Amino acid sequence: MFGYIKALSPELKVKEQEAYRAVYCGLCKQLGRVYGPFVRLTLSYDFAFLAILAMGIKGEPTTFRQERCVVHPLKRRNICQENESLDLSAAAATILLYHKLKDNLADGGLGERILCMTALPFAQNAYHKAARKVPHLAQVAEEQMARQSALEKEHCSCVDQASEPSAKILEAVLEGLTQDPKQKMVLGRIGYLLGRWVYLMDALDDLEEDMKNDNYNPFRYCPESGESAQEQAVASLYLTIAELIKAYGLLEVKYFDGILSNVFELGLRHSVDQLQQKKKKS
Amino acid sequence: MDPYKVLGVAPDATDEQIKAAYRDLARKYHPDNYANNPLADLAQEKMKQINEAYDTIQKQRKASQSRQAGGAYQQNQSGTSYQSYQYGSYSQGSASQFADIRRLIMQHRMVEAEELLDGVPAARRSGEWYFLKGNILYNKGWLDEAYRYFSKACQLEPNNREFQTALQQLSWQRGNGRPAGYGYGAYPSRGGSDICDIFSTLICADCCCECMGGDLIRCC
Repeated sequence: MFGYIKALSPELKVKEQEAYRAVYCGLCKQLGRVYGPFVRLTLSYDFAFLAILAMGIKGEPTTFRQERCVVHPLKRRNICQENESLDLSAAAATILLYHKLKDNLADGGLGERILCMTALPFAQNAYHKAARKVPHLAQVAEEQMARQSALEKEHCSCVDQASEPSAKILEAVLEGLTQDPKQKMVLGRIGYLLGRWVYLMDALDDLEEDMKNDNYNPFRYCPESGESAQEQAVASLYLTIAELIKAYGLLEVKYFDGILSNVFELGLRHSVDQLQQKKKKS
Repeated sequence: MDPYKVLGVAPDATDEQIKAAYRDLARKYHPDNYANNPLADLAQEKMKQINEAYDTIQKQRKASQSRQAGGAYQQNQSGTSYQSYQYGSYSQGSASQFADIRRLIMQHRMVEAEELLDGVPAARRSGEWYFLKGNILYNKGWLDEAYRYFSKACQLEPNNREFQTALQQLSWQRGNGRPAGYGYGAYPSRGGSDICDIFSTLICADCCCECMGGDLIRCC
């Protein structure tokens, strides 16, 4: 994914900030340990969020320890120690990375294709390892990515339909976090909406470039309403966030509610607004 | 369950604090926010918990007050919580053209409902048809299409309250990025005005005074 799912850090408490960073560092180490240094480089906040969500739901005690790491060799930092949630998040990150590389290889520019070609063998090994760990997720991702490229080829003009494969993948990821049927329903909805949101964020991010290069983008084919493509994209993202907030209100979390509600209620919207500002500047 | 925990307040909170916490939660889990939502049942459960917690605290406090006052505690059953909130999306579904489809939707049997709905010939597709279709789409998470269908329903029958409410909800969310009734403003804290607000208000007030020939803050 792309690192759009972030907390609005000035609104976090200091202890939350520290825990958030410690999980991020813990995930980084986990990726390196299990999937090698290449996958480790692709670390993003999206999966730190996923790890925190998983820990918050499971309520398993999280241990932090002061350690050094390659990236910050001089200072000891609090780092979240290996646990089931980090493991799952790392596996999900690896599976999605592999598909993203394959996707870029199929329809990226020349430079991008060369880059992906070099990276793919490293990712492939890691992918197989991750797929053995979460076979169900690997299968869903495989199917939905095929669906996505088919939709893009036929220039799907329905925003909801175009974002569905991505939504279904995250739905599967989040549903896997619990056994409780009620919580599964809530997590399924959150996953679906979050996957949709990430896909649409990426589409908004690429909108101008896609228009210039005549590439596919779901917002290019706006229905007859008077809104511009960008206005429609922002409204659609906002609408998705509002639905996410409502669903999150019904989730029972044992830890990290402060961080998680910050992400849903402030962070996601901040990401949208930041993207809009970036566009205004350029 | 500890009623104070449900409301998220300390056991020694004042009556005012409890009322405020209750009001915030009731607004957050208000049935209007979850109308047609696949999670409406869970929201209803949550609302029930909140109502019960509030009533329990009220009763406990009244009992202890009357004990302290030495008077007999009169059982007062007129609950102050929002008992009248009706969940279930279709309370005002008067003579419905598609009663069977509404029933399926209520039972969360969306696939069947959609099949039946799609089978309705174009000539019979009224405002209600578009509204119900919008509902099914909204349930799947197809939010943009749901918005389009609700708009169409309102266009066809502009005076229908049910359709209007559904459309207004989504319009509001499209413009604000949060559900109506949630406490957060743009980004500032939950706790009302901060120091910057106060200063800028003061300086504004000072400027106004100076315009009129007076002065509020002498040094500027």
